[in-house]
Amino acid sequence: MKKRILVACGTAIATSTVVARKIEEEMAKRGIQVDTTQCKASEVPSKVEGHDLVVTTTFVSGTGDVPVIHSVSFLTGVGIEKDIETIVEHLKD
Amino acid sequence: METRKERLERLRTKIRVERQATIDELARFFNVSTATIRRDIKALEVETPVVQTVGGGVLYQTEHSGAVDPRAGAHAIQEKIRIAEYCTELVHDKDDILIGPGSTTFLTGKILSGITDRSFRIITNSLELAIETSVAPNVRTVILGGEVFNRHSVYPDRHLEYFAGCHNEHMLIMSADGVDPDIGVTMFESRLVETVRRMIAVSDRIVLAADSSKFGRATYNRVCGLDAISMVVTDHNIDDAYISRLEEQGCRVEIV
Repeated sequence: MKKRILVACGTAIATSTVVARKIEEEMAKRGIQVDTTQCKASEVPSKVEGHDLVVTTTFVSGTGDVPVIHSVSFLTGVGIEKDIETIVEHLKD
Repeated sequence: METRKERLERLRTKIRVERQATIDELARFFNVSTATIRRDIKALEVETPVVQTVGGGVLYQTEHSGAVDPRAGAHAIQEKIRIAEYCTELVHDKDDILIGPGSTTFLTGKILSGITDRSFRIITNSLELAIETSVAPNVRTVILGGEVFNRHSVYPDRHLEYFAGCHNEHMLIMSADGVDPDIGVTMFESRLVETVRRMIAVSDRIVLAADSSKFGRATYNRVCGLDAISMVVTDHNIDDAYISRLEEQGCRVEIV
């Protein structure tokens, strides 16, 4: 079954577009099928339901039981491998 | 007194052992200026796997150097992202956007590639950014020619055909290493100063994206006065005194 990732950023929806694109690329390389949804950080509590993971470039709250990965590596280019590994780990469960 | 050679040796060892550091931490540790550390890192980059990263971080690069905590590798990264996000909202449909050198401008360019409701052109000297923006269907990317350095950027000092033939209505998103109300906008990297000046000359909207740590500082190369800047985007740690001095000189200040 496809895993669902909610990608949240601060003010501009553009940031989460970039991050979601990167995640999709990297997961596709690993043969993992994911569906990404984008939103602003403030919208996380209302949109988190039904997702397996939240990836955010900023700080979010109200995510309930859904694990959160805070990552700026998809923007800065530093530490992408490690963050990808963490995402893959979470999606295995 | 420690010689430069000795300091470089200690610096190399420190980075190798700790794998990562920030320019600020290293400057404090060696009790020298951040400019000196940047120069030292540049010297080390030539012969050892030490690299400066976006945001003032320093890495010891290996095959596994992806395993680095991004919080340590990037000074004030949350502030920079907020500033970059704000800057992307200033972009209009059909704009020609010059992206100046710097980590915050790099982030701005990268985030711009996620905008889907407007189309525009990005003009940059960063190979890395050009690769990122070229995948976005609504962004046309122009890369300024010149000599490539550090595998990811170009010094467009001798190949400025773009500027010779272009119009004067660009939006420029630029960065700085120092912003001082008296001295103006300064940069560390002398080889890029002329490029930024050319970018300023062809722009009618000039946005200076600079986190608050840049204020009250000045480095070697003066790029322009504050009167040239249309808007400053910075974070809330900026001193109120700077805000009024900037506004006196006609700069709009946005705090994000």
